[in-house]
Amino acid sequence: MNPDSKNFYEVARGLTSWLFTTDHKRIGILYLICVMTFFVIAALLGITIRLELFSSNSEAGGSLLGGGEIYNRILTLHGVIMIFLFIIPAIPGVFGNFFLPIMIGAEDVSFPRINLLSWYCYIIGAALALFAILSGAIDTGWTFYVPYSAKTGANLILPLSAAYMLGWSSILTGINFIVTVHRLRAKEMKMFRMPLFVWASYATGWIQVIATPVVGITLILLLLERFLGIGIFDPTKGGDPILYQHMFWIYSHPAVYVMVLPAMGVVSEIIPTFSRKTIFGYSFIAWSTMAIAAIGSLVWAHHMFTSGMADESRILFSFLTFFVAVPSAVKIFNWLATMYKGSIHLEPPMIFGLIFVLLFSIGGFTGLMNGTLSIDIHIHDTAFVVGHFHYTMFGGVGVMFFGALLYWFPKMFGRNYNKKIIYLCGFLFFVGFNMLYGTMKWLGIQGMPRRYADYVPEYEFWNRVATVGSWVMVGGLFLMIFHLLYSVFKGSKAEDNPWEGTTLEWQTTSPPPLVNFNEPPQIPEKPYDYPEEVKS
Amino acid sequence: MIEAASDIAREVDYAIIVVGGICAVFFLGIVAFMLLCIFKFHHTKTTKTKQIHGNLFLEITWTVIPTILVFYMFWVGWQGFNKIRTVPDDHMVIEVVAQQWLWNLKYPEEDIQVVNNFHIPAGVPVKFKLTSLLDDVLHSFYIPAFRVKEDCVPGMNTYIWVNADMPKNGESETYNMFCAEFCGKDHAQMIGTVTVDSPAAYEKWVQSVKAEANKPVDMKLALDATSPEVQGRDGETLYKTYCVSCHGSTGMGQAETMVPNARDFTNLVGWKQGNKINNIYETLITGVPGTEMRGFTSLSPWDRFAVAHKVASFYKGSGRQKVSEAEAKALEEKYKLSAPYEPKKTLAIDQAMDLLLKEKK
Amino acid sequence: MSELAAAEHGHDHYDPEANKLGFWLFLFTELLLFGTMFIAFAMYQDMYKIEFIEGTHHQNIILGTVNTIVLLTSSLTMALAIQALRRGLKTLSIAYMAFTIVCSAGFCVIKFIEWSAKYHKGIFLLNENMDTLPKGEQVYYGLYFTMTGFHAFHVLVGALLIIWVMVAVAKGKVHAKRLSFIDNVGLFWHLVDLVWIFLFPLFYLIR
Repeated sequence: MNPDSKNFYEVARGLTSWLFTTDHKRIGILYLICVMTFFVIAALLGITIRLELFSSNSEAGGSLLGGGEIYNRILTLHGVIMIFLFIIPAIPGVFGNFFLPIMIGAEDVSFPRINLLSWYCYIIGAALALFAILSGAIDTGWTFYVPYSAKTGANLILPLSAAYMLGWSSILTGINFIVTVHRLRAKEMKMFRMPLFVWASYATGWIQVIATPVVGITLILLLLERFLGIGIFDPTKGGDPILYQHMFWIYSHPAVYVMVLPAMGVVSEIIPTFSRKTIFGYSFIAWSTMAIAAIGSLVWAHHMFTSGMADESRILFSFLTFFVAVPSAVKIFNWLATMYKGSIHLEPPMIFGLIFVLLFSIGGFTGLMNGTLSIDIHIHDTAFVVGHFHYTMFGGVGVMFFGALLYWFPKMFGRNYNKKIIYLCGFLFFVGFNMLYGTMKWLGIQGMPRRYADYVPEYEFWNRVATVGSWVMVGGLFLMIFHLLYSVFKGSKAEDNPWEGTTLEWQTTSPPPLVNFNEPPQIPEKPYDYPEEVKS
Repeated sequence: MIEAASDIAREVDYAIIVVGGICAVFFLGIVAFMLLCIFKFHHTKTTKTKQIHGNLFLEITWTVIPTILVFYMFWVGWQGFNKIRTVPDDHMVIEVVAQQWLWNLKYPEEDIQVVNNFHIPAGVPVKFKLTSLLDDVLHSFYIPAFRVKEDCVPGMNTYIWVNADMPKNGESETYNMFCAEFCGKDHAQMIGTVTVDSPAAYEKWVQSVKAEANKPVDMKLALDATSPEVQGRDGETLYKTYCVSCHGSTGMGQAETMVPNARDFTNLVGWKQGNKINNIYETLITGVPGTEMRGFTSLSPWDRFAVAHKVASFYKGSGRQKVSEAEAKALEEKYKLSAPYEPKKTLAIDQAMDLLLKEKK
Repeated sequence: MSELAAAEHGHDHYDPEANKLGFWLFLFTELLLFGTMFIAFAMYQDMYKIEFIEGTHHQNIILGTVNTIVLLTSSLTMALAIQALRRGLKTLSIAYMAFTIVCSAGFCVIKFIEWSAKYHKGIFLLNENMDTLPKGEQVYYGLYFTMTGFHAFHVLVGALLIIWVMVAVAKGKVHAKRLSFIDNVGLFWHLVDLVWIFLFPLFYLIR
């Protein structure tokens, strides 16, 4: 039998063929299974948080969890799992691994074994995080602020080691992507011919390499502080708790762009494809990606406008923060201009792409309000901030993770899903999402602090609206996840190029063969090359 | 929007409207253009596309205009921020010391101390000097009605200030005050109220707090749990404010969350500083060194006795020894309980820091 | 299974450029890791000038200097080992690496002597005596033990890597035509050296 006719699922079977694979596509699938599992777990934790907040007063029997102790743990786990186990690895881990080499016409990444190692780092981190849950979980919030994190009775070593291992996973993936882009591009694939998703993954790689070590050492110092009392963060020994916040956010703010740049990359794939039109301002989108990566590394202290840091620093960081808004705005305008004079197909991935543009815009605009010094003094650490980052992280990255899954689903699994069900899910998600997080923003402007297990009765009505919204949203999402899972096995056979895409992954079979291409792919002059007259 | 109770609050609201307004216009533009494209260029309407690769003029336009606008937003925020951070010279001072999970507020000029619920005069700039106990955690002092917030950091001094409007009813008006920086189990219970008073009402409040704090103690009545003076105090509520977060509503501590557990009040064995009422009274002032137990200096003497009796009441048996006359006398003299009140000389925190620094040099 | 192994030939091709680029990126992360601690050091040094100078007075400059020389020498021999292998002189290369490992062991021994001297003076983490020191000095020693500890850990890892390379060279897996591994380990060793070049003046010489 000619091995070329087999796809990468068929070349080998059995558990070990997966666990010891160095094939980037299989590693992508492994990531997909893991991040999906953790997404469901963390979403359920999120639902629990909303249930607790359905009623204002824990003492009047309105409390589900019996007050702050359990609530704080659930809240921390929701944050830790969503950020470290879902959002950061989701798009690079799954779609970056699967499609980056294909899109540049390579057979694999530069360091396939290190790629597998990075997945194992992820698994070890995930296992540690699960142990942490079973051993009682932590109650510090995902930011682990000192001195509380150095004092709390909760077991900190497991979740911090988990975050540390996940950091390694992130760094190794980043290095792999950068080197792959530089070394393994097909001959005619010039840097400025690469699809924008590759550009985004490349920029993401850089941020991962630049920022992750800082949080790694910060978490280690926190552990040393806690167990050996080194005193660097301990005010009773002369340490400065605010230094911790700086070190934490030097990583964790760029990490926001680690999360969102790949999502923007996916949007830059989806919108041209479904508009049957070349991308508007290719080089501007590519450069704005790099600009976000660069400027985004210089704005971390806008998380600290009320921390007690010097006033001059607050003004400087507010100033820098506003700069990041510009390249993001440039991207949005370019995507909109791409739709102009195209021939638009509102297929499910396109719907999710448009949902991304809307929700991420709202997230970005509320980010401007957070960046405005005087407003931030008021809304910092309130539900407004929670609403804001869910718009950018969930409305942005989460939506685009599902958008990417819908877009590449036929290619990854060779199967189709039922579009009508997905439209329904998208609708439920959109309505529920805005009910939930839009309401949170309103509550924040009203002054409701975040991370409150109970709240004063004035806030009850809107909290109830938000909780109902969470049911609608998660209902839509879970329906979609179950339907996609069903389609992996039972969906109808997919064509090689169902969306009439022009990037290289659509030139191979669905699913691709082990070496990605049976025949060498044709590298187009421009990445999104459509004729003036297209099929209806 | 919630009530704005100071000029700064209105300034912040103005910034929200300006920045939010600009954003809303842009957002509506985005939505409108998106809908236009979807309807006009839907594939059922047109299969002809125009492959436009870009337009330098447009790119420059939509880079420059947002840049100008965000500079403007920054400027608006900066102006407001300057007002928030610039305290007028003729201000009064309130020192706030946060701890898990209550707020101690000290008025050095009036020489009074209160917990959680406090009053300020309308029309007078009030500067809050903020810190946390040195071995405590981060907290954040937040009054939504004034739109101000700042973290309380152990070992560091921060501040905010407010100049409250005259209450609408001419007398007093109460607003919420929250802890906004996550601080552990009872973070959501670390809330209080700020009451803005007219000058007359404020003066009246200060006097009532002083009278309460200075009320001489009759030791006999104070040591008797059934006396009307003790019964008249709300020991239950005081216990909830000061003690319940560690010792629990049953008095048995919080074994499942605290390591080591707090003292179990239902048991008479092993009280480090003695289990008699006078011992408990003293512990409420000094705390227990080397443990999480802190002194609560802002309690008035009578309230402190009420708390001590409440604590004692968890033990239902009869083994607790009575306080001897000599011990009662000693306590009375040590804390001058029956003497007319003399204001303590206290220093403002930054003055004390200055002195300390000088000594060090 | 064998079909899979045969087909998964991605890791079979040798690309020294990619290896170099990847390893430089990794070194970059190491640099940031130490850089973060150096920034913390700079901040506290500014905050507690007098206490930090007091701290350096308790350091043994002679031992520090000896250690610096030991480490610099080892860096040189590591570079010589790579040059030797490049010319195909396998035995010489292994000899140089053996000497490098001896140096790294020497470094660790001297470090241990210094730490234990401090331990006997009551200056050590978790020691109650530390609480009696001025705040700034506590931070100084906290940073000292953390940063030199991290560095010593890197020395150990580096030594293990060199042993690994030695074995690989001896087995002929690394040779004049396939230098990536030894090159990268050499780079790592130079980084360890470089970090010490900064640690030494900061903790010993500034007074």
